[in-house]
Amino acid sequence: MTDSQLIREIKDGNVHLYRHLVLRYERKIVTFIQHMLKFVHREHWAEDLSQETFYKAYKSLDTFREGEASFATWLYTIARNTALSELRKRHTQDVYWEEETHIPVASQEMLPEHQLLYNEKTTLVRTAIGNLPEKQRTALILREYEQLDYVEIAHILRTTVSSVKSLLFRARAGIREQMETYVRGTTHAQEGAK
Amino acid sequence: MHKKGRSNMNHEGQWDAVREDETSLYGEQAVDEWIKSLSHEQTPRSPIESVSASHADAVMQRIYAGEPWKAPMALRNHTWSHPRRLQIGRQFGFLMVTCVLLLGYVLYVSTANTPLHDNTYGLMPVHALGDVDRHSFAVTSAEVPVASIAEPLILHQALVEPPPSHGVVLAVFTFVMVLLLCSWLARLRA
Repeated sequence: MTDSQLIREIKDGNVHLYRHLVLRYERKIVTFIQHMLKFVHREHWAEDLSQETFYKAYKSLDTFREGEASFATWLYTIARNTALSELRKRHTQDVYWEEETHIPVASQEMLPEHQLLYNEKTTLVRTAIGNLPEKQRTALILREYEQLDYVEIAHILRTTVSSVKSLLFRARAGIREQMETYVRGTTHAQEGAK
Repeated sequence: MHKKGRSNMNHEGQWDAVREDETSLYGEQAVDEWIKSLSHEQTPRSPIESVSASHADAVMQRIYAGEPWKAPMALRNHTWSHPRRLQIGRQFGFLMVTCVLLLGYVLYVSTANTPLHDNTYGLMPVHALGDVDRHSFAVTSAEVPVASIAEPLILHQALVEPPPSHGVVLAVFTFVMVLLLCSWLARLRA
């Protein structure tokens, strides 16, 4: 059954079919929310928030217009709003950009120095993404991790395609800038030590 | 000295190589690769693999909690525990027995107080018009119209009120109750 058929059936009263929709998209939504919250170290909220997302989606299923966007895109929009409102509700100042404590998991086959380098770079990239403005970060997550196209991202962020392209460009530039600053800093420190 | 100088040069060369490596590592393409690599990274705090059917069930339970009438029948029955079901069964049985007894009593009382041959209403059998020894008929003195060729069968007759058929009512009531009981039992899972 396609999404449209399922939604039609659910609207006709066969509520139990909504379970199929949840099973179809839960992994994507949980991953997306995890990516959104990873940068504030609150990825363990992802499952609860995805439940909230699906519940909200069911509640406002009547407002879903098929012609405007796909069900997945609509879900991403709800998931983003849910995650953002949760962050706002729980006073983001005490959860935002705290000290990096998460140790990335590297491959067992890596040499110790490579593993160290890998961990350092991963932490750096994650911090850099976390420091981006919310819209740029979400656009980047949707593009790079969820593999959505520009039109879908534009629907989710309620903006235009050109605006999305601009957001992505600025996001990448921002990350590069932050990383270059870090490289310059470490290089100067090493030269000073020399 | 010469050796030392060469060693210094070697160190500098290695350091430059490291810097070149780092520049390439943080270059435009490298940054994109690093961004992409984060998507494959495992999240030990809340693995995605833990998301299972229970997640979907939790969502559905939440929906049904808000709108219980939309829950499937099987799920609604499951909300009752086994002792609760037994209790409901006992109460239902007790109600059935009470109803049957009550109806039986009402039937008994109504039939006991009603004379079997109440000739006040309805058509009177001809033989009942005779006296006890049946030697003569009290036709002249009786104020009950009788059928004759000259007159229609029923004349100025009071409304006929037949006794209520309690048996039929009881049968229909029992039938409905049994149907309800069977339907309820059919919904219970073993």
